[in-house]
Amino acid sequence: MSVSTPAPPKTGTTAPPGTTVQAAATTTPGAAPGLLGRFTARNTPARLRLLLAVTIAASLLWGAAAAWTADQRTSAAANVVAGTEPLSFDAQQIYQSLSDADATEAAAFLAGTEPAAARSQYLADIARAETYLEAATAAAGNQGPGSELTVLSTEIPVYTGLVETARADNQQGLAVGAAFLGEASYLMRTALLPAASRLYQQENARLGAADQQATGLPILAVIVALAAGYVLLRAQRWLRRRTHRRLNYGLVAASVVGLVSLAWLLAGVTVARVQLLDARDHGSGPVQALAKADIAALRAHADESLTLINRSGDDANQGDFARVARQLGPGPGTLLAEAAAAAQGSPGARAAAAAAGAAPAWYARHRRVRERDDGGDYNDAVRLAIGPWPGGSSSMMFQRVQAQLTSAIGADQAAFASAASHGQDALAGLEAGMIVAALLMAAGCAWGLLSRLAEYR
Amino acid sequence: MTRSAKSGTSRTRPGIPCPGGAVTASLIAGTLALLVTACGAGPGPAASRTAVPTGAEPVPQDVHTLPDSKLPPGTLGTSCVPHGSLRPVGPLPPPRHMPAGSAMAVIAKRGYLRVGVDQTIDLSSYRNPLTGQLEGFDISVAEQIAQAIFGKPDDGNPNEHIQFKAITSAQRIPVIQNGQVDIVADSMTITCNRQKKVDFSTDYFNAHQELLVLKSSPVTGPGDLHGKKVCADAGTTSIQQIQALRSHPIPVAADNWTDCLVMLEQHQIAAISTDDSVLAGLAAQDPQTRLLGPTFTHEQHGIAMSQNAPDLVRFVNAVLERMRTDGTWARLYKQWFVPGLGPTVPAPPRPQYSG
Repeated sequence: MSVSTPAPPKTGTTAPPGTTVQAAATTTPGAAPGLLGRFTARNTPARLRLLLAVTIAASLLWGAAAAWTADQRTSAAANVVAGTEPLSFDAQQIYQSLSDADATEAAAFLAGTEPAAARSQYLADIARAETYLEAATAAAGNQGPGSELTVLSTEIPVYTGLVETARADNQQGLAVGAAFLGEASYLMRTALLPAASRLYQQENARLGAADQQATGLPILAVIVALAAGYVLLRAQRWLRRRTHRRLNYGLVAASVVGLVSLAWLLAGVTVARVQLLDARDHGSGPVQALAKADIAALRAHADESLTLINRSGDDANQGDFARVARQLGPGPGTLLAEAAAAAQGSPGARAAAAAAGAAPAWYARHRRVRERDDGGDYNDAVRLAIGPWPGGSSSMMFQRVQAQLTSAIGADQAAFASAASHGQDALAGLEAGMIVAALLMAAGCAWGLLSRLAEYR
Repeated sequence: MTRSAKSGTSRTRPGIPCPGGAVTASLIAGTLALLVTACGAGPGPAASRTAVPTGAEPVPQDVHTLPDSKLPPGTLGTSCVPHGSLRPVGPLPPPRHMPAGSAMAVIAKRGYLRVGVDQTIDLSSYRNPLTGQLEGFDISVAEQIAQAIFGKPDDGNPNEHIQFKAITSAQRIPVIQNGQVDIVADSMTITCNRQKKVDFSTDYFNAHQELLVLKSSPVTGPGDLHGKKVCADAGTTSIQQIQALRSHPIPVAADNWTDCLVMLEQHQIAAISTDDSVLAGLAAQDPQTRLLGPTFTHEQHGIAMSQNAPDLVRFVNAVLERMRTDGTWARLYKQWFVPGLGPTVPAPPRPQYSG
């Protein structure tokens, strides 16, 4: 659009309208005011040819900008729906299952002989972690050694191996079983869970970036649309003055197609934007906040069991419980409060609020576990922790919190999937439509101006 | 755009439509003929096969490899002979009739004796995973002391008047000093340094520091340990003895004796070195291990108490005296250690008094 071509020398004054028919090759029409006027050619056919090139270029430029915008939105939306969001969910599920396996196995050890239900829950957790790990690896590609996915796939078998050794020793009443479990749990907390957590954060950052790309305002397309519209408008005004014809049907058709395509693009992008923002605010956003709270709750639950299992009386795990429980809340600024706030207005709102409401009962029961254990009443402490205990064990109270969080995560995950796929639907066919519209516009301009040019032959 | 050129530089996730950069570029160029998109959804670059991670056994929590001791080899513990304990005064008071104002009367009034113990030393003191109960020689000794204060338990539960507090080796002195427990019965060696902080009963068990190795190990004694990792609990005399060995092994300090056994089974360390009573408990958990002499130190185990309760020290010594003479000591030794340390029941350690 820049006007860098030096204007040819101008010798005459502006030719009066209506003189173009007789205009010979020698006449110099002079500079018409405005942009097009600068592209002065020596005669009208030359000017018409220039106009033809400029209008077709403007049509194609609009097509390019519109198609690029549509394509960028479509792939960003697809990236959110089919790429980063599922990966973020996979990563969260890996963390959640591994964390649950750790807590489950710790509680099972407390029971002396492992309860059958705990064993099957542990196996289900490991199977779930492996399945989501496989999905995440397939989606992310092999990232080589040192990556979070590699750490997870190489260390999970080591972890499960240690757990099985611990079980075998424990079955025989050997104290070394607890030490094997301690080593397994330490591996879980220092290698596996941090890797899963980093994976989750990476995928969340990617999700945020893709979300932003998919929901930004289409500024470039609007600027190009204004420029192309200006070109078409000026071309029609110039033609009207030169030819005394009110309308050039080709250019009018091109303008109409241009307007329709702009309206379609804006509508599609806006609808997609609204839906994707909704998917984020009432779907993936709350899911992330809820997942954080869920992960903290699982960690505290495992801490409680490990404090009892760790037969050295070492209170590092109890210190960790206190720290994590403070972060979890439900007081102001805590994870449960943030999750409940993020989930407000989403389908998981009620369950999120219920989770925050259920946490204090769990902490109260936990305090009683500690009182019994610190008072030397180990067996009662264990029964209070894992049941059976009249009025419910600490594990049962924890499960109430977790069940609400899980239900809220499920509901908001579904809300995300539904809104995001609606957003994606709004972009369906947009790119192809923009390309076809650009071609139609170019064809309209060509037809309109070629038919004028034909009058000079 | 060829597939190979694309796959060399970027990765495309499955499920994401072919990027339309090519479409846009061609439109800008005005050459609609180029609308053919080259959709390079090739797989990511194959991970380099040259750097496959090598698996390794993980390390238990709070395990540290220590530097060599700066002490001259072999001198540890020989520079000072611990002084004797406080002599019992008169016969034991009958149970439930503790002298007014004594530390025992305070315990009797509270209703239970607070005992710091380990939960991980098989045979000496450990929590049986199948019953949840603490068992072992040290536990039995603590029960004898509780019985002397409270009498025989009514319901047959020997722990009725005991509150056990599980502690690590490194916590043994602090829990006495800050009054969290009345006594510590935890395979604790009587040393001059420790006598500056706590009072000990008379010697109630003579242990010998030895080595535990895997049966397949080429190690035959402390002399073979040069440059090899040897594990013991942090805060024990055993770890100091390892640091002071002439063969210069690499001392590895763990939180619990069972953590050492885990690492031995995983070939992370060459040996565990501590009292034979502790090692026998570890060996009992793994038939693939063996105890190795020769003994390189003698360790006298005492029950630790506060320096502010000399009457309790005298009382505990009177209980130990009775155990030595009425056959209780021999019965307990036989019950816990004969399977692991050989069929001979030694004579009870001779008490030494100095006040």
